[in-house]
Amino acid sequence: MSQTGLSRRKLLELGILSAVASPAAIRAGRAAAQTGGTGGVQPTAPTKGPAGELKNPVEFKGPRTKASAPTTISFWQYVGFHVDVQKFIAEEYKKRHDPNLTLEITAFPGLNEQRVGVKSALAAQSSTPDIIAVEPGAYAVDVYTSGSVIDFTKVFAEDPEYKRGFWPNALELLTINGAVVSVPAVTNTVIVYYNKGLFRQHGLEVPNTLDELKKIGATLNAKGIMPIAYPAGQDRNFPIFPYYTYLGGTRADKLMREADLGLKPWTGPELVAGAEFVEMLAKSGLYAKGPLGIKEPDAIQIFATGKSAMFWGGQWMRRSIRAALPPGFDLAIFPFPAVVPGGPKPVLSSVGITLTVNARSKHPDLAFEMIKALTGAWGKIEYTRNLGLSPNGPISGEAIAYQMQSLKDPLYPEFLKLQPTGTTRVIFTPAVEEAVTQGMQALIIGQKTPKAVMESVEAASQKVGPRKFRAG
Amino acid sequence: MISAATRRRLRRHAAGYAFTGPALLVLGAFLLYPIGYSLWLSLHEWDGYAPQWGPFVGLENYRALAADEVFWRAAWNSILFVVVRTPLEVSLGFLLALLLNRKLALRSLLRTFFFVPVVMSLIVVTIIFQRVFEPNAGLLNTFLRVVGLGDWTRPWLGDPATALPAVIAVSVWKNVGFSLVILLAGLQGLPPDVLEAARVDGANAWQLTMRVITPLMRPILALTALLSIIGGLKVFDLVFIMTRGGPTYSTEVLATMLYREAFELNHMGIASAVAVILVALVLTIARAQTLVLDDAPEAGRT
Amino acid sequence: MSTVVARAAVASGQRVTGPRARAGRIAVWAVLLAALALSVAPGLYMISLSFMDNPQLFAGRLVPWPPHAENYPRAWVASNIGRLYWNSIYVSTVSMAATVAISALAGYGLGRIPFAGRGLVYGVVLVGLTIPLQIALIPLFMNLRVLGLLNTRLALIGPYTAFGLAFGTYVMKGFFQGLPRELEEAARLDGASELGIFARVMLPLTRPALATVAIFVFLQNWNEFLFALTFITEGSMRTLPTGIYALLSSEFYGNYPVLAASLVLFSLPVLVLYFVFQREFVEGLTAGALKH
Repeated sequence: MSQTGLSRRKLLELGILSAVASPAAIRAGRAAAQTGGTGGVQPTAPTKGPAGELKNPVEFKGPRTKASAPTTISFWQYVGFHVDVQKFIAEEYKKRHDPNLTLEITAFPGLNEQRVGVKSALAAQSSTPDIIAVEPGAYAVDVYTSGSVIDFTKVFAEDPEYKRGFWPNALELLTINGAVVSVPAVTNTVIVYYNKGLFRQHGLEVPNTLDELKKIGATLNAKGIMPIAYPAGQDRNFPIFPYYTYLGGTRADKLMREADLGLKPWTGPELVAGAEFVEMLAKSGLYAKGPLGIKEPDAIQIFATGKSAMFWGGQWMRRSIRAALPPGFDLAIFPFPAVVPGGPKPVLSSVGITLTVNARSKHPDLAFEMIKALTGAWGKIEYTRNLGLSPNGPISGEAIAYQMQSLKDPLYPEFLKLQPTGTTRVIFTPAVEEAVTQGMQALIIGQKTPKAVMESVEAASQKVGPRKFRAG
Repeated sequence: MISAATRRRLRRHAAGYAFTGPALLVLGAFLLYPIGYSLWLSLHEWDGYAPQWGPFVGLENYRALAADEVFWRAAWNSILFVVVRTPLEVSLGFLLALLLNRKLALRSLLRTFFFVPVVMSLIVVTIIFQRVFEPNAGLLNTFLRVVGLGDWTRPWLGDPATALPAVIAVSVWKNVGFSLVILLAGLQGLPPDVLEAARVDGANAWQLTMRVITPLMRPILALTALLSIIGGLKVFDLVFIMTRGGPTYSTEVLATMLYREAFELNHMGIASAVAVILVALVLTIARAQTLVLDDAPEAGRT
Repeated sequence: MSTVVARAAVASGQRVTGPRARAGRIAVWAVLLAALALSVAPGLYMISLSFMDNPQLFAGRLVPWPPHAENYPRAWVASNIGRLYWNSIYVSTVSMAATVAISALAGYGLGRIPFAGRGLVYGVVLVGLTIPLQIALIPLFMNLRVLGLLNTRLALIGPYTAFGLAFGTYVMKGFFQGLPRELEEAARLDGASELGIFARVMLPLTRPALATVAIFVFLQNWNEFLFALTFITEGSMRTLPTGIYALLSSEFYGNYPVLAASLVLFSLPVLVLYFVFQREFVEGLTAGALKH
């Protein structure tokens, strides 16, 4: 890992290059996701601190509303390792703008535990928590359609620049019944990590097509190396990655969304083809053995110890992967190759935790201001600088340079480039998501045929009946 | 004017309730009330977010469950869990107890070690066993490869065929010590003269165990089995942490289905129906078992 | 195998020589040692794991080399063990005490006072014995929320007491029932009140049963997970099981050796206590249960 070679100048170059690359990627990307400008590409003179190091180039703007008396607002989330940076931003906010406002963060051990707590609180009409972290998809739909949270319509109307700061495809994921229900703190992408050293050693090139990937797999298997470590056992979403990938690669993801909302059948040929792809991949020998029994950390170790040459996973794992790598390991990434000839290389993207406000909060205005601090122009740079995840919207070249100072990971800008064009990997209807998860698991272990799987998904979808919400 | 006898009787009734009052209160608040509430909820539809439960749907939730293959899978797995685990646990415990019964030298020490899994926290146990069952570098598969049984390696928790057996194995491992300890104490409490008489009569070891010891141990075996059955039907933590009911519902039991329906699918009514069914199942089996195996009527039982 | 078992059961201290008896003894020891190995292997693995680092673990090692003792201080600090222990001890002990007290009372009432409706009350107790606890999760959560008791230790003490009550009452009733009438009659003739008889005459005789209940209930409370997870979300109020669980999603996510070190730290005091008091432990556990 060549960390030492990144001088300040190099950082700046990298940053500007990435920022410049983003609009190009956007233009080349899918039309549906693009609305208007993305901002922040002009390389202005970088702001430097006294010791010459780069500082956050964005101004931390003050809020419209401040607390009139000492107030504590509560925030319930479910990712423990985000707590430090959230505390940092809240404290800066308190120092610089509103000494009366304190943020109290409760990190539940996991998503399900947090959801139990939130459900009960909301059902009891409690005013706590003020800020709730929700996942896009079913969770967001639930809290919004039950009238338990306030959408961002008014906030965006008052502050259009804030809205412009988000990736359009990210906000689209969180738009229910025409209103944005919650805003993302971070975004993430799913790609293939690979061991550049191993590839070089065996004369392999980054695959551009599915066939090339299969050939690589054959070569690696012959040498006793597992091609792809795939932690399908990590949680409910992982088994669906191949399916989303295929639909992204055949541009059928919009169709999937419609099927998700009950407007089209899941048994249509394009969607069944996705299931066939999943089955084919599972049988292709590309995965490390027993994917359903492998969790993220196990897969990371399989990859880090060189037992597999590739790792199919998310950007949010980058830190864990880095931590596990031996020195001298050359880590790189590539988007999953095109699944049909001439098709796009599907990158799965989604948002990380998203923040929304409890409808019964006693201080909704303050809650919104805190959310703006965490996810606004200044906050997003700090948030993602600390964690190395991708910001929820485009950021300037100098911001990236500033972040790279502490991140020092050359892969970070690579991820930023991929975000705007991602295929979304979210299903909105809980019963459908459950059916798809179970179905994909069945395909991975060869328990059911693709057609049977899609039929059971369709049956689950029909059982739900007409959806009581509109996505987008 | 109330007679002295009546007054005494009334005082007795009052005393009875005075003594059992606190227990009734606590049990009522923390157990009966939730059961009633669940029963009530099971007749309604509710997503868990709206402040009040949704519409009354009568037995619709139960009908939906009857048509749900996941429910039957979960029920089957729950019963399988008990039917496999209890005999294993009790017989292994009995076997070890019989063996330990005579080995005076190290008996205490061995018994202590056998009981350690019981004392260990369940979450510690599940984490350790996840490491044991991991397909690529886990203890079990590594061990198999080292002894030349590489063909036997499996993704234990990732394969529907082996996931439930693996979970049951962990549960047996964790609880054998408990059965052992109770059964050993029972063995040591057996009347020595009966055993001696049988031996003098020329009974060999096998006959002694089967014809004399086992029948004498029947009530204790029944108690051990009952505790094991009840625990098995209620099992949640172990399955939830190890496999969450997967893969493809192969380890789904009624308790995990309850959790999923309630907290992941927002079907509070259905979840409550599952809870009610689970309670009914446990009560039925417990009652059946006590009826079948409890010959001697308890002294003073009303 | 059963012949061997039976033979072993019979070989009561007799110095039986000869190949058959010896083969029998060897087989018995083989079984016992195999069982012993299985019982302690996972625990030993956990200890071994706690001294490794991830690369060693995933290289398939069974024994750490070189050992990484620094996993322990890291685990200690990260998991805030002192606090977790305090919370667990507090909650477990208080609910155990409440359970023992209330079940002793109830057991006496059910076992020695023939009052009207006794069967029904006992039925309620039996129901409590067989109820799966998850059924109480949501209703209790909502009530605790309304009462403002979430994230307090009381939120766990109440349910834990209730959960132990059914078992406790069951055991105490059986025990009280088995006590001889003479003492009670003598005390009654002396004019003692019901409470007096209970406290001074009967209760002291039930020490083994009280020990049984106390130990069983304490263990159950100590290890309880689901309710602790749902009712207590504040880090400083967490009990041990949820504290461990929270580690899984903390910065030590995926760092199995440090996790193992924290597991050892969690388990060690309980295990030490168990080893020191194991006779009382085991005997208390069986005494009350067997009196049925």
